[in-house]
Amino acid sequence: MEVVNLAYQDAGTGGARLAASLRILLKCADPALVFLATMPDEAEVARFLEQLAFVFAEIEPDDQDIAVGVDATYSAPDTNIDRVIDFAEWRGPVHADHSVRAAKRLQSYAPGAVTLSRAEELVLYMRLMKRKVRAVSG
Amino acid sequence: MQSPVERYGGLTAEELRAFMATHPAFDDAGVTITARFGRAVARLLLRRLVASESFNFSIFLLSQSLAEDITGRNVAPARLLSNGNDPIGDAVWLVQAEIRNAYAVEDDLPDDAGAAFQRISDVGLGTHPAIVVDARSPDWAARLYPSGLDSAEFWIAIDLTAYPISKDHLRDTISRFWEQGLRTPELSRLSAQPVWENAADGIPNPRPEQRIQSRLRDTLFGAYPRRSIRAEIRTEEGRADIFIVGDITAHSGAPAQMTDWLLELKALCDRTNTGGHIGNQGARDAVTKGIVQARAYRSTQNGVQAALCCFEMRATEEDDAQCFAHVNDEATTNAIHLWRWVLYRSADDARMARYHLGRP
Repeated sequence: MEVVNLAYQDAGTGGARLAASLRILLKCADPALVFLATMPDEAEVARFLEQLAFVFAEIEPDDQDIAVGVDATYSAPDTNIDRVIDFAEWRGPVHADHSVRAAKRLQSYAPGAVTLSRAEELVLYMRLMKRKVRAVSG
Repeated sequence: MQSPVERYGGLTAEELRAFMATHPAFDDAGVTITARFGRAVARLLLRRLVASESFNFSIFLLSQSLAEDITGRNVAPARLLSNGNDPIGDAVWLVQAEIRNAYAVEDDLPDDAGAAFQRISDVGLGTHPAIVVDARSPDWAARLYPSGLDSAEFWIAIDLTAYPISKDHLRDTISRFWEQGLRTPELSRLSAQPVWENAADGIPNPRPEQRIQSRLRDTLFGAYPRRSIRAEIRTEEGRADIFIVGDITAHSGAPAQMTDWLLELKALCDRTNTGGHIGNQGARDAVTKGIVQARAYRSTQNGVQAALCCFEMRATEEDDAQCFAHVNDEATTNAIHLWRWVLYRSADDARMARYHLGRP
C-alpha cells in the first residue's frame, strides 16, 4: 500500500484524528491478484466488486454520498445505522436487503424476452440510484 | 398487507416500473475491464472517424493504476479525450477503462508498427492491455491485445462497423478465442474458469459449456463494441446460449434491437466431471439437440443467422464432416452453420494435430 495523503483532522472536543488516503501499489499487488483471479470464488467476488465500482463511478463524485442516502435499504425506516448493504452475495434471498429485492423486482418490469443476469440487475439498480440522485441534487 | 414502499425499503414498485419503462441501458453489465476498455475506445474511435481525423497509428493502453503508471514519465493529461474533440493520432494514450482520465505518453510514434510496438515494450508498458488503431486506410482497423503488446500474437479484431456481422468475421473471432484460450489445457488454465479438471484423462470441470460461454461472451464484447452480447436469454423454447444484438431504427423511427446472430454452444465430452463414461452417442445427441435448439430459439427471436458451435473435448479421430454427418441435412435446410473446435488434451496433441495430421 502507498500513503497518498496523511493529515490531522479536528475531531472536536479538543481531539484530533489522523486521516489517510491509501492506494494499492499494483506493481507489488499484481502477482497476488493474478493468483486470486484463478480461484473461482475470489474471481466471482472480484467481478461483482468490479461491476459495482464501475457503475457507482458513473455517479458524479459530489453526488456519491447522496446515492447512499437514496438507496432502498438505507432510506428505509427499519434500517439500522451502521448497516452495510449486502447484495445477497452472503445472505440468501429470503434475508436479502431491500436493495436486493428491489433489484430482483426489476426483472418483472423487463421486456418479455429479456432475462436479467445478476450483473444486469446490479447495473440497472445502480442506474436507478443515479437517476434518483439527480432528482435529489437537482 | 404491506405497502410497496415497505416491501422495497425507500423505493416503491411504481418507481421500479417507471424506471424500466424507459428502457435503461445495461448492455455493459458483466463486461470485464478489458472488454469495457475496448468498448470505450471504440466509442472514441467512432467520434474521431466522424471528425475525419487523419493519421497512421494510435495506441491505447489500459492502466489499472494510472498514478503509478505516469509516475516518472513525461506525460500530458487529456481529461476530455473521451469527448472525441481532441486528435488521437500518432500517439500513445494511457487511459482508464472508461477513458475518464487519459494521458498522452508518446507523441512521436514511429510510422512503422513494429517499431511502435517495440517502443511500448521499451518503456515498460508492454503488458498493459492495448488497442492499436491502424488508420492508414479510410475504414480504420483496430485490434485488441488483451495481454498487451509483449504478447502480440494474442489479439482480436474490433469490428467498428454497424453492418451485419459476416459469417467469416464471427468464425474468425471465435477461432481466435479458441486459439488463445482453449486449444491446449495450458491456455485453458490461464482463465478463472478452466474447462478441464484433468485434461490428460479427459475429465472436464462441471458445466464446461457455461465456462466457455462466459469467456466467449467477454471476447465478443470486445470484438463487437456496437452490439449487445446477451447470454442465457429465456425464450419460449428454453434458454439460448448467446445472442448478438444490434441497435436499429424501426420504421416508426423508434430505437429497436435486432438479433444478428444466435450461437448455440455445445461442449462434446466423453467423460463426466466425476469420471463417468458418456460414449459417442452422448456427443451425437448433444449435436442433434443443439440443432433443434438453434432452430427453435432463432424462430422465437427472429435471429438473422445461427451457428452451432461445438467444442470437441472427446478423444476422437472424427473430423468435422463425421461429427456433423447426422445433422448435416437439417442444418443445411435451416441455414444453421456448423462450427467445431478441438480442445486438445495436451500441448503435444495440439502440435501433432497441427503439424502432422493437418487438423485445425
